[in-house]
Amino acid sequence: MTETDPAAELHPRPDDAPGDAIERHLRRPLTRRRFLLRATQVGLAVGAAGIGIGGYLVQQRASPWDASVFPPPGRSSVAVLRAPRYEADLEAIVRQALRLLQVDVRGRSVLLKPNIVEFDPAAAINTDPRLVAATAAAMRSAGARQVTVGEGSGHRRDAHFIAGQSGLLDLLEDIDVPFVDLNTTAIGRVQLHSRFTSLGELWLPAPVTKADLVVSMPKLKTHHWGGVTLSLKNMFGTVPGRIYGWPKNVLHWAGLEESILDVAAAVRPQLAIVDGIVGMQGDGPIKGDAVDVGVIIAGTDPVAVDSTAARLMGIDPERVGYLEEAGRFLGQLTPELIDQLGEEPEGEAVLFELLPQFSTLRIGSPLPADDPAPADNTGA
Amino acid sequence: MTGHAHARDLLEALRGADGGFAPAPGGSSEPEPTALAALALDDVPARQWLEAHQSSDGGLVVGPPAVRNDTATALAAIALEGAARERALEYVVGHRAQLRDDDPRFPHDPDTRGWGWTSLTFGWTEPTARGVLALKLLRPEADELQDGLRTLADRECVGGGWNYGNREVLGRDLEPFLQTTAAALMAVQDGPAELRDRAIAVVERLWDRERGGLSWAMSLTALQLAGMTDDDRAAELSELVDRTMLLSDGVALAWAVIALGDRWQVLSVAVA
Repeated sequence: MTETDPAAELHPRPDDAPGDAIERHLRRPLTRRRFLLRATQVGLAVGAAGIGIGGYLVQQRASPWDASVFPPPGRSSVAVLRAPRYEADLEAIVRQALRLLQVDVRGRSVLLKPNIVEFDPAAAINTDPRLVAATAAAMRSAGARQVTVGEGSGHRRDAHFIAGQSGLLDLLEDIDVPFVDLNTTAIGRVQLHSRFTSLGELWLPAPVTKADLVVSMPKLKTHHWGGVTLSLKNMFGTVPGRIYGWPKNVLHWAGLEESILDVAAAVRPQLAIVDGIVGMQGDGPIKGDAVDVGVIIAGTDPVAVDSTAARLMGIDPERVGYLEEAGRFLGQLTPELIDQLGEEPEGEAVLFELLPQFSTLRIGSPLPADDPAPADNTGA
Repeated sequence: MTGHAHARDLLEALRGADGGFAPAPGGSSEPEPTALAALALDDVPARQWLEAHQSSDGGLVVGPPAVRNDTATALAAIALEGAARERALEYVVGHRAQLRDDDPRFPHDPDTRGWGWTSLTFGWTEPTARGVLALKLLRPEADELQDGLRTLADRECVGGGWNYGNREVLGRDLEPFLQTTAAALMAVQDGPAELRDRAIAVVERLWDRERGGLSWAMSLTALQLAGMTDDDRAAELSELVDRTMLLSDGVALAWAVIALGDRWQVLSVAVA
């Protein structure tokens, strides 16, 4: 990612004019038709600003991302590994995933980004701290130079409470792995190479921008606005709340699905490891019900991982607006172009309960109308 | 070393060469930790930093042009003095949140604004609580104060307390959080009595469940502002500071200094 140190420019000059208000008219759910319309609008805006010229502008009208940064997705590999419970030897399972995927972490700095959004001991909201700690240990034993765990909770400002109460801090202390609150740590300015929102740039935590390897570690969950929340949506937790607010409201205001794409495209996690041992179905990401699945899903292409994870939930990834679009530039969505390692996804699939407004996401269900889901422009 | 002195030392370690305070080790000075440090330490260099970074419109802003997080301005108004304070107050009353349409999925009162993390979006609990507190302390006659109180009343969770600012989504009641309830309790320390009393009950109920430095430091501050001294909770917070250093979170440390010393009184409506 392109990143500069904003230390000297952390604050706008005292008399800077107010920035452009975030567009408010593009906050409906994304469909291919709307994405193409949006791309045209963004392209025109770029042209009006005098930035786009000649063929570049034409290109932007067709795709709201920089093709030189995002080459067309090729084949990908995703590993589905059985992990029946959290008491299993998760470190060994993660090591197996790294071997299958031929991930070499020797000498590299690794940031693990779990999804720790709330704490309810009776609910399956968070990436289980035992999997996070096991992954940290696996990375270290595989030769990683430095392993850090970071999260910037979208709901809870008090990381001390949420990481402590969930047990994560104690487990990490036991293995001497640091935890960093991505909502408070030092930040860097990152120019966006995709333009699904009009944010233009993101201010992201230095542990994210400077890590050699960012690992997205989501929970396998449904999401009451986006359909599913997996490794791409998990990147919302890299956006610092002290800038973007709680519950990261600016991103919702800019358009939930558009923001998922821009944030994921900015961070570009190089590895995703999904906690599918126990998932959440129904009214996720907070109020849903726990569901036993018994798998870990891993891959170096987060779109392919999310595609596979969605199918494991009985959800057609090509019907999830942001995933469909991510498959055009950020990674491989098409099952036929994803090599499955480990278990066959179909054999591990569990049909997750879906909220009524997302019933059309179910594999094999009647095709959705143009606007199948309500949009979120508030954050919840 | 007492928790108060320890928290002061940890907070001082976040002071930059420019006199401001960073939110965490290795960061640059920012408005929110600097405003809170100015309050916690009664600190002249921190106030000078705030004045130097105050826009001509009175705001203290951080973030990229499309975001402009200005929620520290209300805290800065309390911390600053003289003309700089008045400019900050003018900014606060002039930069409330956006109105949002009536939407049954989020049953908010569409006629209230409150304050947001940025004035480009709509209102949320913690920024609104700050705006209300600043106006109660410094400009109690302002019309915007009543809107802020209506916003807090509208966003209160069923049974009392606040989360980040949604009491209900898609027909489901959402639970209050300790940290945000504490923020709002500071704003309603002197009433409305129903809001204050329910908030106190929520803080007391959640204290043991939500053990975190920021939550506890803000809660202890809020309880004292509501007239409740509590040596046991102060001792618990002190122990937490000593044991965990509150993850070196500058905002949490500043609130701990405020809570564990006597600086919470600068936020007291009764004292003002």
